[in-house]
Amino acid sequence: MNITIDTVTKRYKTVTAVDAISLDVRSGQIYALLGPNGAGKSSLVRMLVGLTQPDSGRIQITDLGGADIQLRPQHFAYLPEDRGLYQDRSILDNLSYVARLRGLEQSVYLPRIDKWLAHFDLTDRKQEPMRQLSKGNQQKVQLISTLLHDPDLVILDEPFSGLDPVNQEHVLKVLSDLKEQGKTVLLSAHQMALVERLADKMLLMSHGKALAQGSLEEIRATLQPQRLYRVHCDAIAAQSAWSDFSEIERLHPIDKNELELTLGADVDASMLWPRLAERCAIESFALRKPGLHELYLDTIGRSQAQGDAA
Amino acid sequence: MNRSQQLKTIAWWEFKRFFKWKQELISIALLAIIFLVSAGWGVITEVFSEQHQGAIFYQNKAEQSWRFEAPDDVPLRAAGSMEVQQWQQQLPDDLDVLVVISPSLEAELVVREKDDWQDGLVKALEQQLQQQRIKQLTLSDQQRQVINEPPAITTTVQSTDVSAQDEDEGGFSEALPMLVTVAITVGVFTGFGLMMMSITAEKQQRVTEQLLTIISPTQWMDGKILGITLHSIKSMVFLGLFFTGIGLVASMFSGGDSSVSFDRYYGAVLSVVFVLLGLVLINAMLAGFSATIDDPNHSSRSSVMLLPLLPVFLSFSIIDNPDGGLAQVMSILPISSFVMMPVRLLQTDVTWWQQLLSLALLVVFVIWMRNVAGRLFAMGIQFYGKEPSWKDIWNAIKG
Repeated sequence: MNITIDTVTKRYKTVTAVDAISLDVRSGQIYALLGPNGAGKSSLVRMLVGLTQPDSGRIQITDLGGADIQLRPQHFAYLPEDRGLYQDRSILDNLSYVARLRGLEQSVYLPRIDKWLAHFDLTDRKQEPMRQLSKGNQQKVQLISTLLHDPDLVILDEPFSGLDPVNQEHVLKVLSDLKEQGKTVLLSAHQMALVERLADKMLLMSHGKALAQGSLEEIRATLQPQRLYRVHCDAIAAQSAWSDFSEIERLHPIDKNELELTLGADVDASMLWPRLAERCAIESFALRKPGLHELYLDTIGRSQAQGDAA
Repeated sequence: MNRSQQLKTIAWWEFKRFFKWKQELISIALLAIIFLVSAGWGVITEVFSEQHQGAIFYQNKAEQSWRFEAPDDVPLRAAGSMEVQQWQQQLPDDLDVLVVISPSLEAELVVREKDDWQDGLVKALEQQLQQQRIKQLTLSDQQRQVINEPPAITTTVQSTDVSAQDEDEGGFSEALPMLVTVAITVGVFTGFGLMMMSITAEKQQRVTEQLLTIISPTQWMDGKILGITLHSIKSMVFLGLFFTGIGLVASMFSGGDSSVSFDRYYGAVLSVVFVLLGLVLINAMLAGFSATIDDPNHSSRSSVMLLPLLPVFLSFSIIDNPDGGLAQVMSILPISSFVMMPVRLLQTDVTWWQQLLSLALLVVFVIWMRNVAGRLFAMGIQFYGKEPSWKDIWNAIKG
C-alpha cells in the first residue's frame, strides 16, 4: 500500500498546522515524521486516517499496482498520540472489543491476542483491568490493539513515548518485522536514535512546513551541504594560524590536540591535506557525518530562531 | 463486519461495561432492606419508643363518673391532692407529666419541657374530654348520634368505563400508573447517569480517537443509546418486578386480595412502545450533550442535562387527573408523551386520534433528535481538555 500526500494544507482558525506538505511512502517502507511539538505531525496523521479533512491538497492511497484505494478500517492501523483504553475493563476485554469492532471472528482474534501478549510478556495479566498496568504496559496493550487485525498500513503517532529503553527495543523489533512483511509504516517520533536505525525515509517539519525529507543521507545533504572533518594533531596551532585557509568555512577547536573543520561542499579535502600537514603533525583526518539528533537540533534550533525573529 | 453487527457489539459492550452481578445483587439486597425497614417501621418505633411515666388527678372527685384512658406510651397513675400541689411546683424525678382534670372537663398538663411525645396525650385528652362534654348535654340519643357521626357523602360516577367505576376493586390498576411513572423516572435517571459516565470517561481515558478510525461517530452513538437503553429497561423491569412482588407479599400477609385485576392490555402494549421510544429519545439527547462535556465535575453543562428530566417530574403532579387539559397536552407533546401517554392509557380511554398523533409526533421527534444528537456527538467527542463553545453546539444542532 502506497501513500501520496500532495501539497496538503490544514488551518485551524488563525494557525496553519500543515502548510503545503507533500510526501510519498512506498509499500514496505518505514517513513518517519520528525519535528518539535506543534510542528504539525499529528495534524498530518489525523488527516491521513480521515479524522479531519485537508483544506487543500490531496491524499491518495494506492495498492501495489497503483490503483486507488478507499481507506477502510480493515486496511490500516492507527495509534493516536492521545490514546487510552477502557481502564476498568481487562486487557482481554479491551482487545476483544477492538477486534470485534474490526470484524474479526473469535477464532481468529483470540489466538492472535495470545500470541501478542506472549510477545510482550503480558500473558499472565490478561484478565487484569487496564488501570492496574504500568504506563509502559498499557502502551504495549494499545499497540497490540492497533495491530491485531494485521493491517497493510500502520500509522503510529509517537509509538515510543512512555516506554523504557527495553520496551522501545521491543517496539522497534515489531516495526522491523512489519517492514519485513512488506507493510507500510508511517510514524512520528522524537527518539532520533531509534528513528535513525529504523526509518527508510523521513520528513523533518517545523511550524507546519517541510524542512527536509528523504533518506538520512538526503536529509544530511539538504540540511548540511558542507562537510565536517575532525583533525587530530600532535599540537593544534593557535586559531589565527589558520586564517589563510579560505576553504575552511568554520573552525572549531575541541581541545589542544583536536579540532573540527567545516569545508564548503565543493572543496576537495585531499588537496587541503598537504597544506594542513605543514601546520601540524596530523595523526588522523576523518570525515564526520552528523547524526540525526544533531541535524535535528541544529535545524530545528535555526528554524525556531527564525520563527521567533519573524 | 456489517453495520448491524457493529451496532450490536457496541451496544453489548456498553451494557456490560456497567452491568456487574455483584453490584446488581447488592442493589437488590439494599432495596429489600429498605422495604423491610419501611414495612416494619411501626413495629420498630414501638419497640424503641420510650415509656413516659405520668400521674392524673381529678379535681372534686370527677373520676367517679368518668376515667381517662391514657395512651400506651404514657401510663398514668392516680395522684393524691397533697402530692398534686407539690408536683405542680416541682415534678419528682420518676414522673414526666402530671395531668389535672377540672370539674368543667378541662385539663392542665404539667411537664418539665415541651416534647413531641406529649402530642398523643393531648390529642387523647381532647377527644375524651369532648365526648364527656357531649354526654353531659341533655341531648336525645338521635342528637348524640348526629353529633358523633360525620355526614355521609356519596359520589355518583357517570363514566361508562367499568374500571373507572370499580376503583375500590382495582388496587393494582390504581397503583399501576404510579408504578409506571416511578419506573420511567428510574429508567431516565439510569440513562442520565450512565450515558454521562460512559462518554466523559471515554474522553478522559482517551479512548475516542482510535475507535473513531474504526467506527463512525453515529454508529458509536447509536450503539451507546441501545446499550444504555437496555440498562434503563433492566432497571425498570427489575423495579417493577420488585414492587409487584412486594405488593403481592404484603397483601398476602395483610389478608387482602392478592389477585391482579387488570384489563387494559391494549393500553399496556402501546405504553411499552411509548416508553421504549421515550428512553431512546432521552438517551439520544443525553448522548449528544454528554459528548460536549469534558469533565462532569467542572462543567456547567451537567445541569443542562437535567432539562429532559423535567417532563418526568411534572407528570407526577397530574397523574391523578389523566383526563385534564394539561395531561392531554403533555400526552401529545413528544417531549413528555412517553411518560404521560402511558399514564393515561393505563387509567382512562384516550381517543384514537390522540394516540395516533402522539405516536407519530414521538417517532418523528426521535428520528430528528437522533440526527441532531449524532451531529453534536461527532463534534463534541473529538474535543479533549476543553469544551466546544455554545456557538459550536448551535452550529452542530443546525447542521
